[in-house]
Amino acid sequence: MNAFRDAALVAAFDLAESVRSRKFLALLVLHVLGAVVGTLLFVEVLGEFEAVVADQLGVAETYKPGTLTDELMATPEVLEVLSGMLNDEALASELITVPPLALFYGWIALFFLPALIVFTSSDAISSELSSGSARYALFRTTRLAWAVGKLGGQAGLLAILTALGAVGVWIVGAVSLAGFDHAGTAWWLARLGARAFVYGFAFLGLALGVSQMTRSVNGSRALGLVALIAIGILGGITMWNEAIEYAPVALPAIQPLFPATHRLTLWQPEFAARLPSLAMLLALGGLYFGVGHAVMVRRDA
Amino acid sequence: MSALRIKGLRKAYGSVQALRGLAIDVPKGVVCGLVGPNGAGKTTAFGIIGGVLKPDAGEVDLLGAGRFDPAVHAGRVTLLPQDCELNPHTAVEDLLVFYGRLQGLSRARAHKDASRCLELVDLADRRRMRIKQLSHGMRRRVAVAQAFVGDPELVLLDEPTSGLDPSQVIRLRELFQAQRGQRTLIISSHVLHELQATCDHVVMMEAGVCTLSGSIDEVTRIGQRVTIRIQGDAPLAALRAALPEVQIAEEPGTLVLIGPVGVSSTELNKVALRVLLDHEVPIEAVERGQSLEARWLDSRKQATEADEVA
Repeated sequence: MNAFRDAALVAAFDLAESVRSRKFLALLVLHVLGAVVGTLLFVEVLGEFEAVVADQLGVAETYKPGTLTDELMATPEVLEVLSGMLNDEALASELITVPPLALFYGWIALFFLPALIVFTSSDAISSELSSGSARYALFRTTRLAWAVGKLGGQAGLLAILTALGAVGVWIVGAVSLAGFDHAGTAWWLARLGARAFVYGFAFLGLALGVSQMTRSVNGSRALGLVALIAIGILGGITMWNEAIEYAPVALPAIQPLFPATHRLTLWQPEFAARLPSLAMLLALGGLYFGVGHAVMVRRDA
Repeated sequence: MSALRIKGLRKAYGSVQALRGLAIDVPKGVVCGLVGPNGAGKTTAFGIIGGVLKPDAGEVDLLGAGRFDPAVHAGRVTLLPQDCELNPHTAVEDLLVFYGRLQGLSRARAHKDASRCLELVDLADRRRMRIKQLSHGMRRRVAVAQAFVGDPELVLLDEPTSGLDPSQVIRLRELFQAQRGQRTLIISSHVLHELQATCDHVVMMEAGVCTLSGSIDEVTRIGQRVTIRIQGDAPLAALRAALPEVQIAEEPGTLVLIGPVGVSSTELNKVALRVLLDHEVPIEAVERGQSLEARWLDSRKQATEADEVA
């Protein structure tokens, strides 16, 4: 018996089983449609904004949105505003080089992925424990290999959904925006999609962790929601300046344990600057998953 | 050599004691029936043997290699769990291939074995159908098939024939009987006449303990007991004179003879029938041993009486 081989088999099986389910179809619609509708709204807002600018400059309105965007992004005023918002000039300089559509996709993915993942994956293991289908696998391999395989399968699902969302955004951009940088936007969507995946992995670990703690499907969904809210609030507290004044050592020390505290770092231009957060997010996914697994190995399957 | 040896196995669900020191010894190569009323602990025992449930106390020795450990027993011990659903979106064949590969088979061997197992349960023509498209009975047969993937040495089957039509029950009975000597089967069922026809070893359970176990001949006392159905009164004095060491009980129309160890039922038959014919008593039927059902009822009655005394 080889644990890695078994985990890979379970992951491939879980992914295939998930892709054939109605749940996947619903997720696909939710994810891709969400990205497409969101992008359409973004394009609409961009068009309105450009119309206002064109009016103020006394030039003709553009037929398609996007004509003035690159010029606007290159102005020192935008850089100044962005630097002020982020309190980081290097990061602001990086962001103004990113195609606006990719920027929008990155922002929306980092914002919505955690909830989407927790809502959709927190029953990935509990549903199999509840229906008993896990038992057919659990006398053929270890619980760890099986659970890691389930994590791998759900990670595969997350990668597919993230990629399809990015493709949807790219298509909307290509159709709706004037002067659309096809290659540049695709490259940035891929980069930001990969970062969103890593960020999402921490929440996937959380979802699969709570899924191992109970046989009840509803119980694991409720636990997932509670855990998501709890780590969101706790993460927020660790970054809240007024709270840090009360616990100047403890709060910064535990800050890395909460995924939201790594979100801004993911936009850093240098890979070396992003690496600690990327590694920490993967480790957090593993940690949350491991806590849940420690509960599962001690109980009946 | 034992395929399964259990000692002092205990398991509680909260305040409910499912197993109270269960002890079982099942020899290798037999088809063993596990008999007991609802709540006797059969499914819990299967779960512990198959490694999906955690015991509170006790020892389990599977194939001489200790308690269930996937590293040692994966592929050697298989389980048909009770009331457990199969993954609904996968094709029947793909599911069996997955299970085969998970227990260490190569892709080619797993495909070959999946086909073989589907033939065993008459589902070869449904191989590309998804589980959710199958009827309840067909799903049950797929669940039975997965327990025979690979070359398991010990197969645990919890209510394998529940929900199946009579022709499929007969088909599975033949399948189980054909395994005798090749591997050890432990079958839990409430259908006692079915088990009597299938098994050569029986374990009876009641309230989490084993109340009786042994070969089917020992349990049903086929070598010691003769039941003779007659018309009219039995010549009891003549029978007792001819069979002085034999315990003879009479109910209206029925004579039950239980011989001591060493006296075969064939011998009992020969003597008793001669006496009855000499006294011109019409004989309607002669039955060796006791049905498993009757034996189980006896066993339950004894257990209840023992409880009352205690």
